[in-house]
Amino acid sequence: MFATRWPWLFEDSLLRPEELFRVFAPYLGTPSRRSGGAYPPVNVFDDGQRFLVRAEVPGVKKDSLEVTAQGDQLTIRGERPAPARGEEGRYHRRECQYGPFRRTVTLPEPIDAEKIEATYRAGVLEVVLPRTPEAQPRKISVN
Amino acid sequence: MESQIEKKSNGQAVESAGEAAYFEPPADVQETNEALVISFDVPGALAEDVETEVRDSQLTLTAKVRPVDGKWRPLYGEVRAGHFRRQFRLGQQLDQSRITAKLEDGVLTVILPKVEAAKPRRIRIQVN
Repeated sequence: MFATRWPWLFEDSLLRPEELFRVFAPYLGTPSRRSGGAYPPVNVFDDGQRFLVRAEVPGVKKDSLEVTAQGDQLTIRGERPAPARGEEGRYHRRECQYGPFRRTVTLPEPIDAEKIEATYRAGVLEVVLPRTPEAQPRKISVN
Repeated sequence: MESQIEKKSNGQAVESAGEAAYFEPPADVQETNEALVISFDVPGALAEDVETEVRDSQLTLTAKVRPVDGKWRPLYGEVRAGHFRRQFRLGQQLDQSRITAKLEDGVLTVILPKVEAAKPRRIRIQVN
């Protein structure tokens, strides 16, 4: 398998051979920023009343994003269009991901779908989802 | 602690220790007749937090990401907190004085024009 992939590494005239190190870096124990294979990667936070789901979708236009919620599930859909390439263009390296995506995140408790707020900025989608009134934590006074 | 602060050349104090980790952002490198175009995925980075620098034929990209407000308690995570940094060695065929960069939707695109001598040319064949 490697035999077929080697030649493109060396035909690279504008990047020097030190760049080859990068090819092997993943095998040399460089810490990875992302874990899990699903796209887009998400982080989930909680402030007691609400959940915050933060999804990284660089290169996506705001208008292509669709956010829906039901019960305890949040679904994010969108598409990152592949870059328009000139006819003469050729790739030395392609590491970014393109194409349509869809991901459903299940939250630990039911959420109030009417009160969800989503914002998109700098390639990050943030969705704030309040718990349903029944799921809100309550302080019980002791008599 | 004073030992953790160093002065940058522009006089701005930065933390040199105890800082969040840096990760290499994924990159696409595309070559056209005119230029080498490198795009980096740096989600969460704003224009004022991105720095592109060329020194000694080395292109360095640094993008800082602001952390989530402290009131949010992490429940689950697939992305580790930290900043972005990546370096590329540039060949002599690129015009290092005409490099431009733009940031859009968390993608930083750096355009490195080729020097004239490195652009492809059509050679006219003379017929006798």
